[in-house]
Amino acid sequence: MLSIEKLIFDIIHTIIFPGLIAVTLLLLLIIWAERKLAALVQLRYGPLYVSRRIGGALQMVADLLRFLTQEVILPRRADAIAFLFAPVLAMIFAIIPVMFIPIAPNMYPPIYVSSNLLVVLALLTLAPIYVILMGWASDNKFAFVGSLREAFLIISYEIPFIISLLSMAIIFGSLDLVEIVSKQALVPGLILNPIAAIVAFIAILRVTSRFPFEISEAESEIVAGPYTEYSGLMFGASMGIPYIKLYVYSLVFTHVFLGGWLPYTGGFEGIVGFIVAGVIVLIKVIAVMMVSVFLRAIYPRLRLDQALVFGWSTILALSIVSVIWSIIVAYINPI
Amino acid sequence: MSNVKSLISKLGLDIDEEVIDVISRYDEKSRRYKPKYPEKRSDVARNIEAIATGLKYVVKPMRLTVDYPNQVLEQPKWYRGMFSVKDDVCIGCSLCDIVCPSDAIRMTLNKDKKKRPVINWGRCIFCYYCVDICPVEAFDTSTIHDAVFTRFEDMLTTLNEFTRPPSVYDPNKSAVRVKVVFDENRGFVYKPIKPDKNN
Repeated sequence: MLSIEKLIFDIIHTIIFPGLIAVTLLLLLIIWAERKLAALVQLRYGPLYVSRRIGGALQMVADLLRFLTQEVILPRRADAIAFLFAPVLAMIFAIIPVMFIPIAPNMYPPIYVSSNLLVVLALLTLAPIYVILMGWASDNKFAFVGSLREAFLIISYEIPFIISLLSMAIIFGSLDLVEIVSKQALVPGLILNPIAAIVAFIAILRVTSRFPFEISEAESEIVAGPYTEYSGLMFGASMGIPYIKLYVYSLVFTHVFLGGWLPYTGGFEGIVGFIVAGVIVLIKVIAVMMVSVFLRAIYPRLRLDQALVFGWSTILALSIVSVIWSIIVAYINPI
Repeated sequence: MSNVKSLISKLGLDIDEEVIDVISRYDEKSRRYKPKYPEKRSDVARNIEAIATGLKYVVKPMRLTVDYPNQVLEQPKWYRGMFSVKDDVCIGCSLCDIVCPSDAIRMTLNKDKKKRPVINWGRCIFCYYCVDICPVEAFDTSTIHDAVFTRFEDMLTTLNEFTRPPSVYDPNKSAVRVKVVFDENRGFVYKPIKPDKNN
């Protein structure tokens, strides 16, 4: 069934929110907010001189313009095709899950699959492969060490993340995000299974390389990890990948644990309903992203072995406990 | 502790007490040194405390940086900054040229064929030996230290340039001059200095 209305909503979904324009704007906002929050905690000013009246909020636009005008250098010994295409593919695969995530209760996402949580989780695991490829193709020690660290850590934290989200699917008895959100009308997922929420949040911090797990691109140790050899626009793109992933992961976290577009339950028709639901989702997503970037100012970076031990012991054990918790909750059936 | 001590005495080693203390705190199982003063609070409490401290500064900012081009920290009056020579006071004795340790000052002739100093700012180390040794106090001093030159050639002054007052080097003439004032709540704050009426 392809009506004109559905087509328009698909285009809005893809291009405006939660698609490309929202991603770009949120990227600029969240990097600025990260630098500003870290500056506040460290008793500094942070970005200030570009657009001083609004606290330097356009600093990231200036940075983007700088990246656009800088030369893209292709290292002589790099694997050219892999080197140039890996960031692009990583970016594409980081952003693609948005097409499967519904934003409003009565509207289907552009690509509708009945078990879209599973599809989103599967697609989210694709982007790190290209980040690893970036490090390999660069032919640089720092990039290679960074991509190896990424490979180590992604596996140890993606598994607990997926287990914790699937434990929520046990509670709701569904893999459809619309149904998952609608079943949180009384109690949000955060209260139904707090252990799964904690595990998922810590795993998000690692998978999107936020502090204290910013190990694969540790600035003081290995320059910029897999992104070391990139310059100009390619560097801007590759530095954006963790933030795009953070956005998509926050979207999933919002839907599963914070009740998505609730308390709105579909009172309005058409575009108004989409805007109301979209604004509620956006506020929740920004809140999740803000909390995760704020932690940069508080935590030091863990060592690789510390993070691995933490991931494979505490976090994995907690995620299995969350599955047991979910089975008990599903048995009691409070929804 | 006693194990390590007995072993050391058996071997007859002369090791510092503090070193023995550190060695004896090593735990074989965890491969870590146990802390001397173990933390009593739980990990969760410490994490929450850290986040609360961070949030405190977000809600109530306590910035310690000077907002530089708009605010300039006033230097003490003995601060050795940019300086210039007074053409009418100088007697051309060349002492400044002789004493200059970095060879920054050279003597040239002015239009009356009298010896006058010129300076290469790129060589000057601001030791102020020239100012101290001058018998007639011909140097005009200031506390300006953030002078800007866009080319190397600009740092080589001619006599005409070196006789200008040092205030021409100040890049932030309209900036607010501030000084550090002790504050009970915040440690220290920057307070604007009221412009002196005498100057």
